[in-house]
Amino acid sequence: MTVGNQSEFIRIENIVKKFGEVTAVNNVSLNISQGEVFCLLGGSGSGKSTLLRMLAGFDDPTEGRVIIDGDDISGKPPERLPVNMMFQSYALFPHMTVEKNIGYGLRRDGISKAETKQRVDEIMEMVKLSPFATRKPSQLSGGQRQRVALARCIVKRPKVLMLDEPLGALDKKLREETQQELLKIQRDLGLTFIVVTHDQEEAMTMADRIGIMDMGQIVQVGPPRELYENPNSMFIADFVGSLNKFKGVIKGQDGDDTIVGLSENITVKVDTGFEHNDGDKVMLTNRPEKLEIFSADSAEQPTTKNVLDGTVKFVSYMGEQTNYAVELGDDVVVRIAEQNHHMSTKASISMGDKVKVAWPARSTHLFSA
Amino acid sequence: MSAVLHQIQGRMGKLFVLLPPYLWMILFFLLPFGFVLKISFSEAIIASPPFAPLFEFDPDEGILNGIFRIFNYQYIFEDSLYLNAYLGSAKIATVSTIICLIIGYPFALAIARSPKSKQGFLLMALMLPFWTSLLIRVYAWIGILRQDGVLNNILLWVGVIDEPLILLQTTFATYVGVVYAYLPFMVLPLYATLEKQDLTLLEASRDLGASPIRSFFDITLPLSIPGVISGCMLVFIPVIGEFVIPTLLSGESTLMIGRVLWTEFFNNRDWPVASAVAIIMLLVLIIPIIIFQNQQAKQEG
Repeated sequence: MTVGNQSEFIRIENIVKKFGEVTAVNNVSLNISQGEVFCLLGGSGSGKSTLLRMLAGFDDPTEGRVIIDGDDISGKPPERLPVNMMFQSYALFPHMTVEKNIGYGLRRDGISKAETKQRVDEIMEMVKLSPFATRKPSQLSGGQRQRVALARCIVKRPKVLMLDEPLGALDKKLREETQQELLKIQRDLGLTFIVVTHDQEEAMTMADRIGIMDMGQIVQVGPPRELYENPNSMFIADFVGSLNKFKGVIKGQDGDDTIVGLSENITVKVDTGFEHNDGDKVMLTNRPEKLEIFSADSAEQPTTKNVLDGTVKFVSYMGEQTNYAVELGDDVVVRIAEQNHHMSTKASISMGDKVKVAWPARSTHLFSA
Repeated sequence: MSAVLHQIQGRMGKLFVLLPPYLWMILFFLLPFGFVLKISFSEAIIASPPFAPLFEFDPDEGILNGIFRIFNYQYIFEDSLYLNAYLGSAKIATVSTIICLIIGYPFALAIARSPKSKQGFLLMALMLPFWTSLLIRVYAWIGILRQDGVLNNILLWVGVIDEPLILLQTTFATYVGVVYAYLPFMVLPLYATLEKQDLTLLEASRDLGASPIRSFFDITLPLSIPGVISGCMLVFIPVIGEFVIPTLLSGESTLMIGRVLWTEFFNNRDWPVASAVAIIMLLVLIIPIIIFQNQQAKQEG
């Protein structure tokens, strides 16, 4: 059945899209494999939606081409592509019932009424819409509409399903449920998903791989863990998750560790492959949840390479975690997030307390300033 | 205490807002309609006003006699002139409405789909003719359509015809004038519904496998039906009673109810028959509208 290479099911080759003077997508190349959930993550204006529209056939690339399962789709109208799109607004046809909405694509493909009915019934069963078959979209809840939009696409068994901010219009509780349902359907039907989102949490939880877009280019592609743990640029580090950022100067080398001065009196050891010369100005980053906080007088004491003294400036209890802001001196403030599972000694830490901050040498990154 | 006061204030406010339109309708529609209805049950006499009073007080018996004469209506049903005039009007209104729709729909679609920055200009251009009096515009059509007029001259010059066509004083001229004059009334409501349409619906239908033409008939057209209906009503209803355009462009050759009304009122001075003609026309128009609106309300509810 498959003509193209499995891991090159979708091949995006040097795609450029210009709108007049503006370059919306700038020389993007990307391979997506069959059965993968690929997320395009980026802020507004990053070019992710433009890229998606080109994949769906709504816009033609200015340069480059897209090959899906061995077929060059460039220049083909959307109705002739083996690709379907779930729109952010769902774009359900307001004058048609749920049943008619879902069957629309099959009827347009010339599939008989009887077969359409059967396949629509199957899909409605699958996404739990059967009781609402004869309702109009205006009589459905947000979650039900989302399911109609999904059913309308997957009933056509597309080679690729594009989802534009699929969970954007749902409230938080419903999002988690829907996300799991989406992924279950994706796995069960062996579909290839391309998800566009600006919500990094959504991308992290859904995607096999994420491509982060900025200014029309893909800045980094990789599994969520890789992007989070090993960002290849300051931009990625800052874009995904929360981050401590410090300006620093390389002070020297101690075995595998690089010594970085954050201020006159504060230095930390960093274990990273970052190439450098002494005296280089760098940006040093780490994640608040990688740091640990200890009461200065507590029995339990940190054992990491870097242990820094500080004063608590701010505590905010968030339920599952507690966030601290600790001043290390010289106006260097670090944010720490602690899971609230061992509350015993740390529950008493409050504003103004003297604390020790445990700062591992790994999981800290250096970028050229 | 203050809550009650607030409620009263709220009601007063609502009343204050609703009162002007109600007053307007009562003063300028219901009251005149009452007069016309009353006159239609009267009898033409040579007096001023030229109709017999409906109610007469008999002081001897102490009785108020009300005489409702229905012979005006009987007369209208018996004389085929009236029926023909109604049918003539209905035919001209129907055909003109259809022509307006056929011309107006692409017109409205083109405006609605043009860049937002140009839409204002295009709508202005559509409305521009209204800045000139209708009468002058109809006279202009006389200049265009008459035997030595602009149109015939052009056709002769191009060589399409050998001798001038007779266009004025034909029903054709009425169609031209009516379609010309009423086209904006078709375009505006159509534009209003088409402009509001969500274009991602069209993309969705394309995405699901429909060609652009198919998308138009599956999505754009059905969703614009409310605009089609308002447009058709805005054209059909005034054209039924149109008087000026057929009189100036078609003269005797076209029989419409507006002319019959005019003749009854001003030539025959038979106000009661004229009123009965008007009342029947109103009923003929209003009943389908009410049925349609009920249907609409049912569908939505």
